[in-house]
Amino acid sequence: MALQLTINGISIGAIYALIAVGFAVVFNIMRFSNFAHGGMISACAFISFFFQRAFDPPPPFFVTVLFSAVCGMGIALLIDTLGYRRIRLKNSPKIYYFLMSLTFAILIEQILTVFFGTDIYGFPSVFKSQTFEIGSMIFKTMNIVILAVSVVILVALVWMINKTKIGLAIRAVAINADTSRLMGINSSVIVTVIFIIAGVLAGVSGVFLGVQYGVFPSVGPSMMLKGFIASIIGGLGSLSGAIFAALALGLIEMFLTFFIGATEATVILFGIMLAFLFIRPQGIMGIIVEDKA
Amino acid sequence: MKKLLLVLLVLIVVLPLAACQGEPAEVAEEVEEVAEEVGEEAEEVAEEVAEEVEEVVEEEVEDLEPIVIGSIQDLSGPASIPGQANAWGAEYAVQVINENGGINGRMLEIITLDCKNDLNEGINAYRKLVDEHEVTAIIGPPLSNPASGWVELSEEDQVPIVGHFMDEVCTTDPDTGEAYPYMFLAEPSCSSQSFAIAKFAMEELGLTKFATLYNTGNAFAVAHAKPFMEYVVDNGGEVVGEETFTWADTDYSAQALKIVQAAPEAVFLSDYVNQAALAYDFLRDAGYEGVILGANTLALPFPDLVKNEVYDLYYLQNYDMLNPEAGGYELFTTHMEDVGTDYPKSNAGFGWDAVQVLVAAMRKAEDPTNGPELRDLLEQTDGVELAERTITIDPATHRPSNMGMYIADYDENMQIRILTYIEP
Amino acid sequence: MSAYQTGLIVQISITIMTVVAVFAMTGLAGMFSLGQAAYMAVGAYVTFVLSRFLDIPYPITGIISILISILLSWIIAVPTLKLRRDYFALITVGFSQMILALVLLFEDFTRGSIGFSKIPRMDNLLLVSLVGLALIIFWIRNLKYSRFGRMCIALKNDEIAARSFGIDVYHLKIKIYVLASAIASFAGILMALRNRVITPDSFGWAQSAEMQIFLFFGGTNSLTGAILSAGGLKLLPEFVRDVTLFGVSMQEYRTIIYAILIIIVINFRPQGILGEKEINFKWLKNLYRRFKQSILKKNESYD
Repeated sequence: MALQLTINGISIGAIYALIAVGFAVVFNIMRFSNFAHGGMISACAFISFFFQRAFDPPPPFFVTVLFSAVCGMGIALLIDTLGYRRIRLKNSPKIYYFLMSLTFAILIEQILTVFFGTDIYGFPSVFKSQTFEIGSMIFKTMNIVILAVSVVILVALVWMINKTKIGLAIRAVAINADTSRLMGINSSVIVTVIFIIAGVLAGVSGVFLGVQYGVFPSVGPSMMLKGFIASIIGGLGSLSGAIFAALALGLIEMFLTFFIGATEATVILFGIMLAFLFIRPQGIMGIIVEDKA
Repeated sequence: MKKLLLVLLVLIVVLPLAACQGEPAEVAEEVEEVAEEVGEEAEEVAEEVAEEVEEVVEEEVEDLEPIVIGSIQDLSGPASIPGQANAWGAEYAVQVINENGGINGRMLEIITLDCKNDLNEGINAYRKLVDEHEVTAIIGPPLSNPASGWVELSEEDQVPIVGHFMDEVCTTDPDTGEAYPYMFLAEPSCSSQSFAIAKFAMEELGLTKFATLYNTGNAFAVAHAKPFMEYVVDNGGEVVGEETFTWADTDYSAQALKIVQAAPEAVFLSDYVNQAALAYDFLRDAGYEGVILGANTLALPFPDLVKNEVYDLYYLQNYDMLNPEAGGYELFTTHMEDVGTDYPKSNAGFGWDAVQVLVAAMRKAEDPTNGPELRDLLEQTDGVELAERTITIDPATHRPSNMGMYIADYDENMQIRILTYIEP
Repeated sequence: MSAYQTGLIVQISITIMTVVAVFAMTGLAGMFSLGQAAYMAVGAYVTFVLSRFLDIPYPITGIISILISILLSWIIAVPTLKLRRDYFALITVGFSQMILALVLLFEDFTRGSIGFSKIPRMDNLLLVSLVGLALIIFWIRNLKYSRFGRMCIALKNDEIAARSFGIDVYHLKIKIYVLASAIASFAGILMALRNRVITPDSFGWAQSAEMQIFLFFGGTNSLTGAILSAGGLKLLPEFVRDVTLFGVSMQEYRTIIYAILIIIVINFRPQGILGEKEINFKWLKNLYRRFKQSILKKNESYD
């Protein structure tokens, strides 16, 4: 039983990781928690749902994922232009980013609610059989696909940031935006790249959440909170820390729910979080980011 | 210094609360005594005057002034889809009644307000209807959340409310079991619905081992699951698993796993359709192959929302909606045409039924705008014709005593198939 | 005055109270909390559950509930306020979820999601909420004009700079957070008295976010801005109740309109509608003077 729980925990942890990394990437450069990420995920879930339904026969699943990723990119850039650009140019206090992202999260959820209602839309099932068994273990086909895609995306992302030129520029801006500008790095290009990455991540997680849990306006925001927790516990801005924390969160949640109960798990999780911040405020990866508002 | 200020502020703010508590009760008693004395005299005079006035005015005024009733529904918010169907049903009922001559010649006017499935909004809507539109009575929403805020207000304002708030706490006091005088339910309550499905599972399917999986944050789900388990235990069955989740959860795989381990013969899902569909998939994914029982929320479009095959699923239904032989057929098809939806919604019937119950009382009333009189008549509701069957309200609980529930499943084309009718 | 109107006034006083508390927290001390509604829940539930089960009059349990809120907020503030703002925001979100989970867990006492009903009627609720509101506004106003308050505004929430001026930011933040939470729990008690029933749904994070939005709309540095926007935005939906747009009730669009307004305000007037301005006697006097001058000028030009 513990093995089955572990598998389930890792599968949900993989989804948390995709969301948490989306947070961490933006935080790395912009130094704020992008709450709009949850709204972007919901929007992408709806887009991919209608895309999948628009064709008969439905397009291959990876096409939907790609399409959703592109749309997510577009939404992210749109939000950046409408919401964050002027704040950035004016050098306004960070708290405005915070509020702006919150407002966008609420706005997207409400627009979806008005046009599509709060009822769930069932994503047509992608695979013939939902599960397969190995021995006494039951694997969800979708979980395996999600796990595989997440691993590929996350590895590619970490490689890009650590090995490529643009990754170097991103890291430079992350360390000090002003100095890197003096070194000839165009920081507005970097910001665009960052939002493209975040948008792609939101697009992919939107499809996955839609397939796993159905499509409804609050699907993103409800999961976003978990991603937020993971990105903070992982150490703000640290990608590998976020992934690690997300997997841990998925596992802890699964075991707590199984052995103690879902409602109690919420309470205990909060206790763990508070204790963690008390004992190790720098997060798992130990990077301290000074609060310069 | 700041701390001292803080404590001071708290005291200053809260002390008036303390000071005010004792007095009003005494004052109120005195006022009441005086009022009673004055009231008796006034009543006699008023009656004489009223009789005279009535004779003179009767013919002219009656068809001039419509009777205004309110309708508070979830036009927006999380329950807007059933809420709008409910609002449609009530408005359509009023339209039909007016076309057929209204209430003893007087027309009905219905004002629909939105409560967003929210307590605060519900109270605002109620206050607006009662204080500004001066409605005679109110048609309530299908959900209990806003309605629970009106139980005392309706008594203070003497405004009868007829609705489909299925939780028992909306019609009877949970501590004493007495009915709230002005609240009336026009469909079987949560517990009688749960009893119906439990009875069906135990007697017709012959099952004895049950489990539940429900959202503790959803009053609707809780009010179904608890009586279901009570019924099972009282009738010699066994509850082997009670698993819960909350609004914040989207993954129920741990709960599903636990239920599979407990190996029940049937699992009861009592949530709204979103959570029920998720729960269904998680149970089937975890390898559960037994019977699944559901509340009346598992009607269409449930099969479209789940990814697994739908089998061995039995759920509650209020009406035999698409049966041309059944009384409600015309109503439900009209609703589908009018709104342009593919699915019949039992909520259209709810709105209709609530108006029928209210109107039946109004027709019998000497003054159909008199709250207390309507209340007394509503309490005696007996055999009033609804969309499909008749309703008799139990004066002790203000809930129907004669209404049973249908049990349905899905046929090969994933259409609702009514299997049987469970008597109350 | 009809009961409908008094009910609305009480509701708006409650909203203003909470937004004013958030003003002290976010506007002055730069703390971003998404969990203030949870303190309202603590206030409401502790007061009336204790009052019923221990048979103590609710004004006394009300004080107990405020003390409990103070204790809880202190426990949360001590480890988190030393850290980044994001951690604090996270903890407040987690806290509000935990409180709602506790309400569901102790359903034998709180009746869980079904709602805790039969709360006694209070006849002079209007008076109490207005007096409470006046006191709270007065106190926060004083806080704003204290040395700390002015420093906060002058430094635009920049903690490091404030620290270099010798201000003990950490302890001041704790105090303000505790104060804001006490106010929120008082508002929660009033809300329970108004609604006569408490359900956990009334205290979700949407309520907390709404407080922040109201605050930023009016202006983070303006107390009167916060008060006016809280009152105005809360009242607006009541007025547009019967208005429809493309056949859909305006109620549906309410939140969308708020959100778009906020986006416009932050883009083009990040300091909020009122900015730094306070509407008080001085402001009115200035307005009058300018008005007079412009009339004089006009007269001169006619000559």
